[in-house]
Amino acid sequence: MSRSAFRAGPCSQSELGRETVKFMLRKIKNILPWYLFAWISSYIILCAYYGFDLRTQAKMLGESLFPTLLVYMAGFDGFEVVGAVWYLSAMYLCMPVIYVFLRTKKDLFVWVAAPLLTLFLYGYIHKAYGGFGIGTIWIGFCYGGVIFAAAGLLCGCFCFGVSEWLRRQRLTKFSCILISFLDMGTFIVCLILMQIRPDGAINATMAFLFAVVVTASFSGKSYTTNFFNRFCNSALIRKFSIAVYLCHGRVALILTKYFPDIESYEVRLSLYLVASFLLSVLCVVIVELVRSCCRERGRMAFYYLFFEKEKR
Amino acid sequence: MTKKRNGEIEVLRLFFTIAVLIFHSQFVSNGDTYPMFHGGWLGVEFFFLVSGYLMAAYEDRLPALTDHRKIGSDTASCVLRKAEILYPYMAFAIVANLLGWRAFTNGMTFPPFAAGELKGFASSLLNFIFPYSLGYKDYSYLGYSWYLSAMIWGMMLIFPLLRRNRNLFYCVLAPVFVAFGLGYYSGHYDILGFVYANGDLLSGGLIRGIAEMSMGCLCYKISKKFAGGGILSKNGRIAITIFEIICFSIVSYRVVFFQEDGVLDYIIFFLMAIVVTIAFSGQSMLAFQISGRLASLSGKFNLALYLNSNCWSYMTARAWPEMCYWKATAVYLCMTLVSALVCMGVCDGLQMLWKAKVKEKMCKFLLTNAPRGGQ
Repeated sequence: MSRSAFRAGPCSQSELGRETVKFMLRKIKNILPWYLFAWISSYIILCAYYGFDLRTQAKMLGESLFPTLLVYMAGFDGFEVVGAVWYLSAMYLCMPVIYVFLRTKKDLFVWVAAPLLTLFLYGYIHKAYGGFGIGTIWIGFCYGGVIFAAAGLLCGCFCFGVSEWLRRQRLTKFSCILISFLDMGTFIVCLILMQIRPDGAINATMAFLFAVVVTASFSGKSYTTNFFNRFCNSALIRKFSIAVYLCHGRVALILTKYFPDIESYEVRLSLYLVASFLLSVLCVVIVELVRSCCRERGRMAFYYLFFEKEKR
Repeated sequence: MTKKRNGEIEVLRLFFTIAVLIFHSQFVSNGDTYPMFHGGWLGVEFFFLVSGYLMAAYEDRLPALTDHRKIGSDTASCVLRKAEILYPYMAFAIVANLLGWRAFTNGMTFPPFAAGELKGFASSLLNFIFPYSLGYKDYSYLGYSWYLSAMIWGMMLIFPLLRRNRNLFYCVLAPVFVAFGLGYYSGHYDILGFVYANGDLLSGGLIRGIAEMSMGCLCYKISKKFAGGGILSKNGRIAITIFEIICFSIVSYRVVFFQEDGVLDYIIFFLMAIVVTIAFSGQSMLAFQISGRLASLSGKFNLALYLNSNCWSYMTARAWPEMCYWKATAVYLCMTLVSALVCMGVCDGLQMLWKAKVKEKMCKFLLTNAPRGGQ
């Protein structure tokens, strides 16, 4: 988001709103096909698992409208078809507000407001709730996820500022090696901490460690990042990550329904991972197929049906 | 020649006014449950949407802002314009409420006002600065005034933001107000019909007003894109009309027959916003035009009905406590109708007199540099 805001030309006050909408539409457009696939697959799984009749399905569809439209985190309760979308909802609710500030007061925002607000918000969540697991907790004026997302996005803005500063520096080989170790080492520390301290007490520490990893990676000075960039297909990994995140939510229901007798945790976990993996692969394949075939034709058909010639 | 106005909106406005009126008929009979229009309170949502729409349309007609120091005076003009329409109707309704209350409850006595009634009268006078959505306790004789208060103070907050940067308001601020305003409502109060605050920073009514008028502004922006005709093909117009009818059918079913308040009311609100947008766009096949004079009369009539309904609902219950629900409701509706017609006659007459004679004389009397013609 910060990169988009910095890359855009000079900010025109009279076009700021439209520019923000375009930015948000681009974000939504990127996620939409994946989200649609996840929604449909989750819906099928839910119907198969609970055996909903038509009346219940209609009720469920009505109640799932706000979570489906990703405004759930503002306070609109309802039935979540795709699990774990609170993150997307909170992110999309916070982004336009932060983007406007980024565009109007870039420098002040990245170097002063963003780090200060990050500290205050993470500090508030840590003190008031003892950990960051407040995504779906109502905190009086919105869901905690909104505050959590705002803090994360603001922290990301500051990371962007630091990484761009690092990118501009002419570092020695030793400094680059140091940054590479910082990048990889911090990431490994994060993984270890996640395993040994799953409670909320060290969530704030983890957030700052992740910020270090992100800054080091985006700076372009880390050999670790360069290594991954050279040998991995990052576009495919990105698509697969989105698919896994969106499709895994309801997979556990399949296991409960069709393999109720398996007691071993390891076997259940393996099955869960394999099922999530397969569904995600299917998601990537179908989304890419539909994207390449139907995008232009669908748009043309829509305009042909509903609009006069000059507007097509 | 007067400017033509959208007749479809006036029909919808009348429908929702009647819905609110019948919803308030729950107070006419002591104890009887009312069988229909449990969702009549949703009419207020429609009024907020239309108010937001009209405010945005008014702002759009103003010349582009060159001096930011004028935002304050522009806002004051917008709000005073609205208040000028409301004041005579409010004054009539307060007096009618007071007289009716005395006549039907205690009978006319001397001295005319007891201490408690004076408190009520003073509280009623406070209505002219619209305080009752800001947290002040309401003892006034004018019922349901929270809506007017929320509308006026909501305008005071929204209009300067809209005036300062239209583009930013329509694209970012208004959607954020709608999402977080109604989201707060849903998360905090659960149902949309909640009005008064209990120890919160802002009253529910005001938040509801701000969020829904912001939605009304968005309806204006979207309908303006479609307005003017010639954009949609015939298929498009048929599709949009069918869509409007479906949306309105769901809304009216909820308002008239459905008895449970809940999360679905937020969906009903957004369907209502779709109906308002399509109706104002003029692209629907149901759209028709009426004269500006008729539209103005219709607006005043709906306002008079709304403001005069309170006293008659309580008075019917006090005067005829044994009457069954249906009879009491019929009496209440007839009395409200008559009262509203009288109110319109009196207020319009007084307004004409004020504009023709009194305003100029008063200006001459009070101001040394009084503008000519009482302007």
